[in-house]
Amino acid sequence: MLFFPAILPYVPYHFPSMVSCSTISYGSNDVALTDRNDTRRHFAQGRFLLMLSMMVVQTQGKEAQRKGLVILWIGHGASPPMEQPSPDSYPSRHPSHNGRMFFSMFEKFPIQVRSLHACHDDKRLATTFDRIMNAAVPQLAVRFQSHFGPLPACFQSLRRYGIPKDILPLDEQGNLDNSDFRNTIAWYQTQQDVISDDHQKRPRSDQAYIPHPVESDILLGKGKRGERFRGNQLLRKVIAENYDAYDSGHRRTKLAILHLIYFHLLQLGCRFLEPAKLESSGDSVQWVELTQDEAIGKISMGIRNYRRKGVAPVLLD
Amino acid sequence: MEELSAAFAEQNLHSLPSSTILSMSADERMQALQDIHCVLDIPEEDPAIVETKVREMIQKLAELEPSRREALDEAFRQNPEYVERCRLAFLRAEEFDPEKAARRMAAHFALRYELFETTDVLGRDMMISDLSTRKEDLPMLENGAIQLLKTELEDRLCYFFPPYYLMFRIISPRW
Repeated sequence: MLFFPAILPYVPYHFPSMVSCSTISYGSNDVALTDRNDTRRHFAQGRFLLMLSMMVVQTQGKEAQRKGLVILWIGHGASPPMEQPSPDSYPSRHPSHNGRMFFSMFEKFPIQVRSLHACHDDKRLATTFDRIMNAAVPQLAVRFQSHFGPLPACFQSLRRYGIPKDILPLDEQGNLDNSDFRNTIAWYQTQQDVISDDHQKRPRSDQAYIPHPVESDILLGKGKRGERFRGNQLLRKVIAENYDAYDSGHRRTKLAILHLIYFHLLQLGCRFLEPAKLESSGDSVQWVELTQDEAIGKISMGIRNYRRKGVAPVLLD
Repeated sequence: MEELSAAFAEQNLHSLPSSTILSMSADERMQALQDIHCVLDIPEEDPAIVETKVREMIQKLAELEPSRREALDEAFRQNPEYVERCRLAFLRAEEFDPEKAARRMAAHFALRYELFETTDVLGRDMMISDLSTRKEDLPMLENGAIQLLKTELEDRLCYFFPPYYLMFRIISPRW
């Protein structure tokens, strides 16, 4: 922990995009190494890294989840400014800044980051990285490997760690090829649209049938099965209490009240259940939990029934 | 240490790795190889054990300090099914250690709130549209500074390695 302030002056001004944000304590020097734009960029990079890690989890299945990620950092061509920024450019200390990204961020990903490989051609970084490798690694959950030299030498070095040059979207001059990346993002966007639509349509737990509702559940459907359930009584009470505000409110207010009722009941431990449509269930009724949108639709229906009948319904058929 | 000093003194640095490796036990050597090359010895998942671990993880989540799981609680309030669906990924990320997985999961949702500065992204998957609406995030989607790379699994060299690599690089005037 203590070695870091000593080596920080050798870290280039913009390099903290990788290492400045970590659990390692930097002492008072850390602020001098970043400016306000860096902070914003760190957050943008953090959001993007987090989303890409989620992308692997969502789309690549359990094998990819179990094997984890390897992160490569290519620092070639990033010529660091020699001078330190002026004190005027010091950032206001964001509560979540002060070294809380990258290394510590990796420990918060939904997938394990197995190792981090840093490629660079800066001798000062070589010293820094050697110290990180020798001293910091035991304190970090992520393995760290530095590769020093021009790009072809780094490609060769990476190959020894099983990372072939072919998978890198870079040529030996450092020209970047974005085409695959853009295709991947476009494909992921399509996947998200499908997932999002599908999620709205299907019940909350489409395979999790509930054979025995508990007292706090709200049973929907025809008949008077829910009368004795405390959840149904609660719903009736909440609808009666909020009816006036709902009835006199504008459309947005009405929607907000419906959401408030839903989350209020959820907090009290209520689940919105309706009978499952099963072909081979026999006489026993299986229940399935509704999605948020479906449950809110049912609450809305209950309020309309209250308006029509003047009595808050026990059931919302 | 003497060996190291001698090697340094003689500038015979190539002998260091081999002499260190030879002094290790078989288990230590295997661990070192796994560390260096990411050669993973991943056990198969037994559904019964997975179920037990999930239950233990739920217990560990409940035991976390409330301040550490505020964002997670908010996510659960918004979409319990989503949170339940996420659990297994965190268990896998921590090699089925329920306590570490619980801590990672709580920290993950806190990080989401921290980075996006809104609770909207807690009860659902993050979408590309969450980034494309932010001015400072747009370059990330376009310049390829951070990319997800897929390895060729049939490549012998990569066979044992995690199949996904993230690569990021600093954008500089030269590029």
